[in-house]
Amino acid sequence: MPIIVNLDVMMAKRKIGVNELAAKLGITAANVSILKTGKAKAIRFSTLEAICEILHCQPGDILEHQPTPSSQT
Amino acid sequence: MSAKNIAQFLKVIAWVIFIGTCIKAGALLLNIGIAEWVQPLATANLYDGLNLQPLRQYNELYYWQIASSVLFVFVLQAIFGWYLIQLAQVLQIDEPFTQPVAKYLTKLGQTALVLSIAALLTNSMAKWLDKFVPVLATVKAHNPASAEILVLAAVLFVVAYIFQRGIALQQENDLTV
Repeated sequence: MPIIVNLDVMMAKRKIGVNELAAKLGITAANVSILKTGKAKAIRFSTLEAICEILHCQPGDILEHQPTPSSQT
Repeated sequence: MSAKNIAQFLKVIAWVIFIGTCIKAGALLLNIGIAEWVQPLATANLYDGLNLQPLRQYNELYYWQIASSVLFVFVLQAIFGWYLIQLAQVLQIDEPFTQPVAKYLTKLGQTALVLSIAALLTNSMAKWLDKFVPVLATVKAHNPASAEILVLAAVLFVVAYIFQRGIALQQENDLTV
């Protein structure tokens, strides 16, 4: 998928673990892990807002669009 | 009726159907064997009034064709019952959209389709043979109606397709954070 989730990078920058972030977000650690590993199919605006608030960042810091070679042409 | 009770009820019904159809197929197979090797008179009542004696007297080959066709239909009914048990075992009423459920629904649809074709062929053969020897009534009494089973197969295929879509939606929902 051309959308890359950079949650792991932001979590490392803010020195926050999966369990701590999950507890602050009010979701399970498994769901944070799904998001972190890029397995997620979609993200709710409410979750994204909460992540941005906790990690003090912008949605663009979490999500990145990397065009696939076929879409570049 | 709670979800757990529905699942239990479905399991019991599936087992009853499977055991019933197994007894039917087993009894016919046993009686065909008895009629062949022990007592030829058993052909007069192979299973629950299935009288193929006039046909056997007329032509042995036609007798075997009809007897094996009816047996095949009975065995298919037992296989249908078996898949129904498998379906009842994997079905979770709270979260029904799973891959095994779709798999067994497809298998049930395929079995129903083969069953309807087998029933149609058996009926057609009996109808043709009825010109020479009265056999249609006795075969029809033990052969399921192919048109109804064909409709059932179509419904099962549609339900299986809906389940496939449901699985995709559920997976998407599970992976939405």
